[in-house]
Amino acid sequence: MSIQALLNIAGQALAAQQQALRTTGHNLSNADTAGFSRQRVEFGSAPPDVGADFSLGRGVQTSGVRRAVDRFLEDRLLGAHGEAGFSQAENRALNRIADVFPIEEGSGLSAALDAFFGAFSDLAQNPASQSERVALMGRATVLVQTFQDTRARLTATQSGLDKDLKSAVQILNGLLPRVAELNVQIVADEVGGGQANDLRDQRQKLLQDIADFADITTREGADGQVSVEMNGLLLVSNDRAITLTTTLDPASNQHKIASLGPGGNTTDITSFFDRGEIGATIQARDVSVPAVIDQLDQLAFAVANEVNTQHTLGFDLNGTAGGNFFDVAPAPLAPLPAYDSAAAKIKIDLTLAGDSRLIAAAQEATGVPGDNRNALAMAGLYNTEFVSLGNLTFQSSFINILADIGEKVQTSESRLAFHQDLLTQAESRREVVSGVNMDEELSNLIKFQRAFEAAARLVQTGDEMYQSVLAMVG
Amino acid sequence: MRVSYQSLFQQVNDGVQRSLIRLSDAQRAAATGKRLNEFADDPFAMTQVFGLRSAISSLRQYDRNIANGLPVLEITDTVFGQVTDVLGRARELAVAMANDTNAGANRLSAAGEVAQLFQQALSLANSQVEGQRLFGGFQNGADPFDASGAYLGDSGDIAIQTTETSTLSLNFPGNEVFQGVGVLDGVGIFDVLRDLESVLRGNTGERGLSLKLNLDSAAATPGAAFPTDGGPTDNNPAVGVIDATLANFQAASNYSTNVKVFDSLGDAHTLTFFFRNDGGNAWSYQVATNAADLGGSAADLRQVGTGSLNFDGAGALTSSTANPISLTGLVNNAATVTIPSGTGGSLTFSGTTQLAASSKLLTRSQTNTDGFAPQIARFDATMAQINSFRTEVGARLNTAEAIQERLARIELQTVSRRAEIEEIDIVEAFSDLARLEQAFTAALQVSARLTQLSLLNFLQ
Repeated sequence: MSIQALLNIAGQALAAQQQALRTTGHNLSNADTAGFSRQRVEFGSAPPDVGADFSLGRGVQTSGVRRAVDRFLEDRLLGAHGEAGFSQAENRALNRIADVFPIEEGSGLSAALDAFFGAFSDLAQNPASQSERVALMGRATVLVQTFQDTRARLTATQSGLDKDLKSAVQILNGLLPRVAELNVQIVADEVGGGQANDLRDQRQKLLQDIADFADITTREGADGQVSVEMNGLLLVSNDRAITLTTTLDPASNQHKIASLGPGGNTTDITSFFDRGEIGATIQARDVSVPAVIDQLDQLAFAVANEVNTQHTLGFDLNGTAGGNFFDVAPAPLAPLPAYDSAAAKIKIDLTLAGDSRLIAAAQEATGVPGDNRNALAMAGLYNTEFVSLGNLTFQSSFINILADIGEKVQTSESRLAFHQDLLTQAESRREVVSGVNMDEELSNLIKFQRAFEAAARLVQTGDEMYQSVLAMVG
Repeated sequence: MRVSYQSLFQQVNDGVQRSLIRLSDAQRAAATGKRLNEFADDPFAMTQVFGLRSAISSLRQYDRNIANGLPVLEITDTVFGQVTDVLGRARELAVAMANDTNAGANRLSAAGEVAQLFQQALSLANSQVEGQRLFGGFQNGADPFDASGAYLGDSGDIAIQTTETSTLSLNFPGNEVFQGVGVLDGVGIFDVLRDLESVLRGNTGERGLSLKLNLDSAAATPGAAFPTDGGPTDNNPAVGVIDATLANFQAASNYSTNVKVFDSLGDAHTLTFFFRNDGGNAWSYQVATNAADLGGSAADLRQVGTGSLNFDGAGALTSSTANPISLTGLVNNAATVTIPSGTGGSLTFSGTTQLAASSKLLTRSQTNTDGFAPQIARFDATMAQINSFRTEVGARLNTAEAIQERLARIELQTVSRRAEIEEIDIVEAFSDLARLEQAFTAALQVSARLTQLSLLNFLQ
């Protein structure tokens, strides 16, 4: 036993409390750091001096700094990020599709259809009138332009999604090697048996970011390295990360995701991405938007064909048989369906466009100019149900397209809300374990400060004891 | 449970954010008056709204069709009314002129008025609205009736769409209305007017004379000569015309009969037919008129026609020669009566069994009032015809108005259904807004309080 032992104890205590204070400070200063897990200095009593009859304590020792982390919650959070990333991107994409169709009254395809067939009804009132004919041509132009415009905006949405995909892949491509780098650093830092707390936090944060883009699963090896998998495709394995790139598919003029091999050869891995932001973007680009475009093309094709069929039955103001009203040429090559790109190609027949007298309002050549029966028949197409449209009228077919989109938006809204809630919940669960509570840290701060003061007092006591002893000597 | 600093602020943020979103939604709803401001607000309601909008647009189109069609029907109704007036006036004239007292100049001026009425009817039949002829069928770009009243249009039926499934015809083809084509017992209005004018002018379809002789040759004195010229007792007898006294004729003839004819002014003239048996079944005749009519002496007769007739033993006419009877040079004016003339007939004799008792001459000729009765009857028919069309216009007008009312009612329902879906209850919206404002203020206050709480406040 010695005063020295007392001073040793005091010294260790001072060091330990300093470490604790430093960690508290670290926690406080990182209270806002995303992905940060609060840390704790782990105190333990030092092995005692074992005497014959009793053992004397040798003070405190720190066994390390631990992160407050729950692996299960971290994994759940990763999953939640994947789902939320998917739902967000899906919802965003669907709303972009919905935004293609203006909802204001009097605009958009619905109003254009109303106006076009209404103009035939107007023409029926006065089939010889040039002004009605010119008005009808105007309405037809609006209809054609609305078809073209709507389809162009859908195509733009599609290429916008393609750009999104490209940049998402670029971001992901930047994230993956950093995980590999951190793997290496963590192994290096933990070689002595300690914990690379902050690096692990950073890596976990990175993984969450990756999970936003793709649905990943992670496995931590015994050495502390994580491997990242997606649907069985290994993205990161220890210190190596896959290199992602995008290749342009000439057939669809859209990008595919490929892994870049060491020799520069690429492998198409697009199909592995089915969840996360990238999965949602691919799905919207390749399924949702084309479905709408397809429906729109069918509608435009049906409008053009049915209007043409009826129009050619009639006779124009010159008494000659009506020609085509719309033109959706050229016919697409097999195996594309006949209606392919109709909404983009539809225009007013060139001959007709030049002379509104050629609008065939009469049913018989001898009925010109007062015969309005074909104009009535044309107007009547508006209420006709067509087999080619699944026994729907033009307008209800269009509303059907909207209803389809609406249904998808609706579903995705509720899915988004659900996944957002799950994410919030998973985050708050994680925060319960890993988050920094200021008050807790502040009270710890006081606690450790007081403990530090007490240890300092111990030094003072030891010092006084030494002085007493020295005074005895002196 | 631990509450971390971050999750506390996250919660505060979330709470305030949610309140703010609700508040801004409520504000937008109150400002726009609409519940649906973007597609994602309620996609299903939105598609319903689209359907209703298009339904409303159709309803408005139908309403516009009818609104444009109504004036056409109304004008048609007015035109029919005017045509009825024209026909009524013509009928009045026909009735007024249908007696002997209204002859000559009166009838001529009446004929002039009827000609005017004809022109009026023609112009009514060529009525137009905004360049479209009402009665041309499909051929409504040009006048459907030419100056003679011939129809140039067709029987096209111009209809407008009044509902999704029904149409309403706007026009009446002129050949039906004015010519009675396709109408049961249809009458041609222009024909009737023209015929009346002809009748008034004494120039009718029934021209010439048809005489039927019942001869008794036994009673006759064969071989007696017709009188020779009794001497120029008048001023200037026409060359080759016998001027004789009644006695001359009566002495020579077996018997005579009087036939009344009308000149182009409608004035009556009496023609006297003198018959003489030339032996056997051969007969001659002479036609005379009072020389006063031709500027001669009232006591004289003047021969204006001759002819001969042959019968077989049974009394049937086997041959006849008839020189035209000409009353040219009638005194009172330039009017002429030429019998036979025109296409309607000729001086025709038909023989029958010779009767023992008496010989008489049955005549069928234009008489002073004959022509009017059938014309008046035809006028009644035309007016009935127009009236039936007028009733039809009225029925169509009623239908159109009924549909218009129904459309308005449906439109109102549809609009209010759309409003129910699309629009907000303004009272509810503003009370919501007030409530959410309060909630938001409360959320801010709670947040402020919550975030102020810190151990730091108590550490000195």
